[in-house]
Amino acid sequence: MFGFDLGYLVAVPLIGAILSLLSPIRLLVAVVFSLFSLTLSSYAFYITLSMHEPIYQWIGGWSAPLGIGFKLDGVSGFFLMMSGVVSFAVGVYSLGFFKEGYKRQGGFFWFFFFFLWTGLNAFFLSEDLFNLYVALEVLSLTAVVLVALPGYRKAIKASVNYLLLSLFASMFYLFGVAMLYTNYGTLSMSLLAQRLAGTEEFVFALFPLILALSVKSALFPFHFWLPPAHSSTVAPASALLSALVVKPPAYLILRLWLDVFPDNLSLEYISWVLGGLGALAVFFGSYYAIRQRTIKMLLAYSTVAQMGYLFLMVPIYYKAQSLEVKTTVLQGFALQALSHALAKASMFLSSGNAIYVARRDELSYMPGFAHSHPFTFFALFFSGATLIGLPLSGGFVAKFLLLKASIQTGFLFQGFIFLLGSLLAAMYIYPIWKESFSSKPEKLYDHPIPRPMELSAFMLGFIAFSIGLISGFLIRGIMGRD
Amino acid sequence: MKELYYLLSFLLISMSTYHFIIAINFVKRLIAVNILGSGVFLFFVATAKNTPSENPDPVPHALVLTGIVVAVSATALAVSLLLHLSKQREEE
Repeated sequence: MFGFDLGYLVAVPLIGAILSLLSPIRLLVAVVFSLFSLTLSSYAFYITLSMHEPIYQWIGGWSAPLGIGFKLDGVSGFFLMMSGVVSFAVGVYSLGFFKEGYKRQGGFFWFFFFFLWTGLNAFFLSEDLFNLYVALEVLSLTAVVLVALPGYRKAIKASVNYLLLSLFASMFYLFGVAMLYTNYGTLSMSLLAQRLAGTEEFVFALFPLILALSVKSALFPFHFWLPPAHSSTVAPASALLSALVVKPPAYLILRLWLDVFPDNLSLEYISWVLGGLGALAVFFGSYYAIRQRTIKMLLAYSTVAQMGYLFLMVPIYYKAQSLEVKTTVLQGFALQALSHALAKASMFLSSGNAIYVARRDELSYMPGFAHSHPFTFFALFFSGATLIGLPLSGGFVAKFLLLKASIQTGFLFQGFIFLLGSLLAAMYIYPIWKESFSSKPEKLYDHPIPRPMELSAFMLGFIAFSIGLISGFLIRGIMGRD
Repeated sequence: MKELYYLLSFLLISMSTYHFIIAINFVKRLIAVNILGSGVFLFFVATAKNTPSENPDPVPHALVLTGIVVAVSATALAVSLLLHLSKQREEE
């Protein structure tokens, strides 16, 4: 046993959220609690690197079936680290961002910032389906407020649309949970896994569950709410939404497949449907991203495409026979999620820098960062390279692992989509790079960007690129199940 | 008797899903989601009788209570956002 309670991971950001409402010490609270939460997440991740058995903890000493359980294993530790690093960097960015503009929004941004972090940590630690529902609701409601943050018409419309859809999805999720509970008498994922073996009834509960989770993670064709919601809000909020908020539902789908569902023929069909929709998401997301003329819409559609990869690999995992291939798929999934989160956050923060300098978000008005702001230019370069999957980057290693697994299991179609996706990503990243090199005639674009805004975007991009070099170390704790 | 509740909840769920999909107006969709919620809660509460013992299982009731709290607060958020929208429209 180790010396700290998993509950701290949820309690510390929650206390930070509440204290950040005290306006005189808001920034102090933001700095102290971000550092504290990041330390806790990194420590949890560090523990998972060298452990073999998942850690269970029961809050308040109430054990199953009554109590609320937290579970920490390799995958959840990895995702805790992901949300910690991205949230922290976005926090650093926000210190500069809300000083320069949107001062009123800056007053309550930190509350939602920490609340989102709380929801993410609670989600990745939860072990039973109902807790996951509550954590998902915390995430969705916070995300809705983050979308509405700027307060203008476009943003509020997008946020209402998002709220209604996510509420609709939550109700279906709850419906699925009710069906599972009434048939199996438990909500705990580990108990469900034992009781599901050899039964058929759970297939009916699958439909509402998967429908709900794919709406929430914006899987094609349920992606239509995402681009307006993620593109109309302020840069730090867009970064949090696109990097972190869409990941948990996809993670839960994989988790259900990994830990809960037994082998079953109808599951195979469903996994094919999910994989097919993932492939369509990669294709159409990239296609629409290529057609966009504003940088934030482009990035939002690129999120749809990159989330497609996470679903594309469900059938591969299902078909994989050996533990080795399963582990490879799982590690590829985690690395793809991490490198997308880091790169997309960096991209959105850099787009915030571009809008800060140019005062508008059309691609053709993008400042020539390569000449005027080298840090932001390198942020765009590194994160774009990761999204495309250029060699050495985190995205490259993720795609390499998945390609390897798809060839080993004979899924050449999936392998083809991975390669096609890279090509399409290059096509939508290229205009951003091109505009960063163009020398604009106006001297207008030369004014300096606040240091925290430049450095945090650069650091995220740099980490996204360089995790390719240390990926073997990062994914050491992630192991598949027999 | 239990089957009647199930039937009613499925009816509510399918009707409200249909209206959620076809409606364009935000308020109509919000009401549809709330009716969907009622259907799901009804189903969940009715399943409490699915135990071998005489007494109903208390867990579904506790869970539905949480679900209702979430639905009410989300509805409040949606209504306040809609009020903002209509205020902005008046100002224009």
